[in-house]
Amino acid sequence: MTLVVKKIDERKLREFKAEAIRRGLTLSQAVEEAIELWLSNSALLSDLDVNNLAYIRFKKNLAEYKGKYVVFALGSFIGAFESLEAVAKALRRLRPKLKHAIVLKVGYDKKIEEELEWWGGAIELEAA
Amino acid sequence: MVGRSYRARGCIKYKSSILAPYPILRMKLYNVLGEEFPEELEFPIDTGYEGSLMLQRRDYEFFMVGELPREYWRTYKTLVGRIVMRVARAIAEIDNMKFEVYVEAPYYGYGKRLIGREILNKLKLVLDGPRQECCLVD
Repeated sequence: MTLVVKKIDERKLREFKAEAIRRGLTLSQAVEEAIELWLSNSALLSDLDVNNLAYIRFKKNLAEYKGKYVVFALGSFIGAFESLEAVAKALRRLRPKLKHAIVLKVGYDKKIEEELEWWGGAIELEAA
Repeated sequence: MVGRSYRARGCIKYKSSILAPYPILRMKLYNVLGEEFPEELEFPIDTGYEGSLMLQRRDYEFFMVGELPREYWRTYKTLVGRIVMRVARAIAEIDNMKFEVYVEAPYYGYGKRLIGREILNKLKLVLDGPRQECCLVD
């Protein structure tokens, strides 16, 4: 079949074509291979994963933002904000509409290493 | 006798059960985008639960736009072993008071609706057993 794609970044396409030639592939073979890789790769990370990765990459800078809400979405650091209203405003501007974001209040949210109590707790252990 | 008196701001009837009715709290919840959860939620009061607000997984999804990083998730020890809970921030509204809370849901499993000590310790509540009412008081 024929595929027409508009608005592709020229530089990326040029690099892609050059890489296809280096690998001895036609452009269509290279596109097919890329699609296959993208679809089969379980490294297709979820929003949860990419946002947590963005957080881990940023962690060394957290001390600068004490008392602020730091926000990670779409795999990037979005910003640091004084209030939850400002967080909401920033998140609402992002597209596509978010299903997941990380919002951490630096120095306020506590990492709890110990096991907490839930006496008698029991939940249905069906996979979520 | 400690000579203390409380004035009820509002009371909620206990929920009936097989043997003994149980106290509940009713509240509205908002996610960090400021969106209101589509229903007012009822939470059974559970002083044996150390956490904040436990939700069912499907309800928790609404709050995932304000989740805490993985390393801030919590682990609970229970009769059936250890349970890892995802944690997100939300805004709770009880009796026109709004405050920031954590909501939690099990990483595996469906979860339950419960209100635990982390929030209960911020509220003044009277459990009036004979009347079967849970009252928020001043």
